[in-house]
Amino acid sequence: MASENQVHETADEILADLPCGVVSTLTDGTIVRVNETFLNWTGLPSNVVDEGRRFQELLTVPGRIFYETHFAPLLLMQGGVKEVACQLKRVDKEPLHVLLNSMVVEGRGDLPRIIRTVVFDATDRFKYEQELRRARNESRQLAAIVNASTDAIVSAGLDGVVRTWNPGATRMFGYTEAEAVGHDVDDLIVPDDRKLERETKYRRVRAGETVIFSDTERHRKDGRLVPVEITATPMVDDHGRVIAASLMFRDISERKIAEEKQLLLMGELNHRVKNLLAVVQVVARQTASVSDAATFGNKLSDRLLGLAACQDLLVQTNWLGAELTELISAQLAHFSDMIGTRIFIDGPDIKVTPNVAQSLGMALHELATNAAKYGALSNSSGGVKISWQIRNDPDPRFAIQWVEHDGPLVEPPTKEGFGNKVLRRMVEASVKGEVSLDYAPDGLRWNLEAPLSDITAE
Amino acid sequence: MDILIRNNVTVIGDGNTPLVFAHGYGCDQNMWRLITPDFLSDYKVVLYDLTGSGKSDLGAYDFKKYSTLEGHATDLIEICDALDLSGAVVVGHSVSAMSAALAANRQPERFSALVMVAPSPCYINDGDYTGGFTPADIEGLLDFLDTNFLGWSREMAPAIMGVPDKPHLAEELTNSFCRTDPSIAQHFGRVTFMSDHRHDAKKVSLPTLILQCSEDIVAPVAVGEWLQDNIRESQLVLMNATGHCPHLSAPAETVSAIREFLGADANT
Repeated sequence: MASENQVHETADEILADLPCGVVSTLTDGTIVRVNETFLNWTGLPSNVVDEGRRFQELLTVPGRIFYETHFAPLLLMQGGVKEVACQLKRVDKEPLHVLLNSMVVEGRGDLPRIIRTVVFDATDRFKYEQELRRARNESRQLAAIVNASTDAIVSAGLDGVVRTWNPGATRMFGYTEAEAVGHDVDDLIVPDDRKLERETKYRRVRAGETVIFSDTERHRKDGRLVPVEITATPMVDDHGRVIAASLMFRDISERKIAEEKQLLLMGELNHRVKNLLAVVQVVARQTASVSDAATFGNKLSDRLLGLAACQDLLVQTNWLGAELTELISAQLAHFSDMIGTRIFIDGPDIKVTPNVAQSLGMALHELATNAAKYGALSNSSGGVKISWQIRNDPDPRFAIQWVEHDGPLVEPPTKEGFGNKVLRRMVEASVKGEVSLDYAPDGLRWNLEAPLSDITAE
Repeated sequence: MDILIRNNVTVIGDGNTPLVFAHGYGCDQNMWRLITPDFLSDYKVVLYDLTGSGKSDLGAYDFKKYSTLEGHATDLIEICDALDLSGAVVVGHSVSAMSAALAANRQPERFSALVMVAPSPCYINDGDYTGGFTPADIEGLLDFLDTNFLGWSREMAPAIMGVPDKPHLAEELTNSFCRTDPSIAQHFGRVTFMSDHRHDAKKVSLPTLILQCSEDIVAPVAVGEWLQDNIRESQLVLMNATGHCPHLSAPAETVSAIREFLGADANT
């Protein structure tokens, strides 16, 4: 029975058909014997042995350099090498990816030393390795991105234990990677009053959902709270099972500050628009009470223009206040050619609050209009001096004067018009100061005095 | 840092004249073991590992410093300083033949002669100059190195085979021969094969022996001839040895060529 199954093969037959190439060479690489498989793979003629070719000549150029600089020295020094990846040139075909194992065999008697090389077809393994290298390079690039990110990027197991912790997380939360990895994310950064929220949302992550906490808080190692937006994403294994979660934390402190500022601005704007409309209402009513139908339109329009000039100034400075010199220039824009000849402006640099700018602006508008109609700017020789000072008395006080000279003889008005009201009451009300208005025969004098703190915007 | 530890420097031999051996790209000072015994009686033999190779301090491999061969030339000078060598003969293999030339051009008074084993001042073909390779060949090599080092570099050395009769050799070589960090091997490979020191070769003033192998793909015969034409006091010996490492494949022929050159040099 046994003899029926017995197969008689000679060593040469086995060698010829082995599923790998076999090459014997002298120590300089000269080929002395090859098997059939090797000839089939390379397409070389069976008389390759007689041509005195060297094994290394059958490798592509990079492989040949490697052979000379690594492979041959290793063989000669160590007696063998294994699993060296090379490409074997083939006749009329693309090179074959192979793995080489070689060993040096001492010759018996007078015979020379021989290098025996086994050549394995590594086509599939090469493809796999290429894929591995590609994946390795890709993961290196991704790791570089994670490392450089200003966001905190953390991964945690389903038990909440931190597995990875990037430099962004260290910057955001103060714990080093060594202090964080292996610890419960709850203990590290989740405030007590946020633990329930975290648990509720992580339940959804464990179920495979990406969850965003758009506005929450985490605490730092030093106890300070950081407002954050968190994106929690499930990480799955090859079978689609959730095995961990990746957590990205974005610091939203600046966003929060911007949002608060925006809210504040909206409220402020609303308030100012209402105020302005109230002022317009008063101006219109008062103008109407002292005008006839023919002049009402022009008068109202002039006064609103004065208000608008103030508004422009305030908008330019982001509602932070207005330089007094600029405010005066804006209100005297119609008389700009007289500034320096008939109108003199003199005082220290001072920035007034938006409120003061509005009421002072209207007062200056009325004074200028009055001067042009009846006062020092209505003839060809008169002039106006506008000057202001800051005095310590003992608290700092602000004073401003409008003094006309060389105009027509001044006569006090017989009834109090709108201009008068503005010059006295509105200004007094808005700056808590004292106003004096003197219709002196040689020229009108207007004076305002108030605590400096009511006037200045910083 | 101790230079002698950084470069794993070994000093052996009974002579006075220093004979410094600098190995080439790929391996370490063990490359010289088949020929150094022949110089021990009358030379002071100095062996070392290039920074980044063998048992050198891999942490000392500064990618900026070694981005040109000048970094390795500086190391050679520092080793000569540390050992207080004068009149040294440097035997440099392959890329180290050019590093030695750079060191000798910087401090010619420190050295007496150069032995270049399978040298090449420029590996890439350039006009009339035949270096042997195209830029694409060299890019292919670097990619190739990456493939092999993926699962190979550190596991390579222990894979000693076929030396059951020389267990001591196996033990000594384990973890040292050809061992290096893959990123350093990549970098050094790039620096080596992209280098062009033809200009520096022309400035070599020392007596120089060029050992040219036959059938050396890394440094073809045309390259050896170019060096002979361009180094003033040079001799070219065309060896029977094939390949790129005659000191391994033909130690006797290598020793006699060096001896003849040094003897002749001493007599002049």
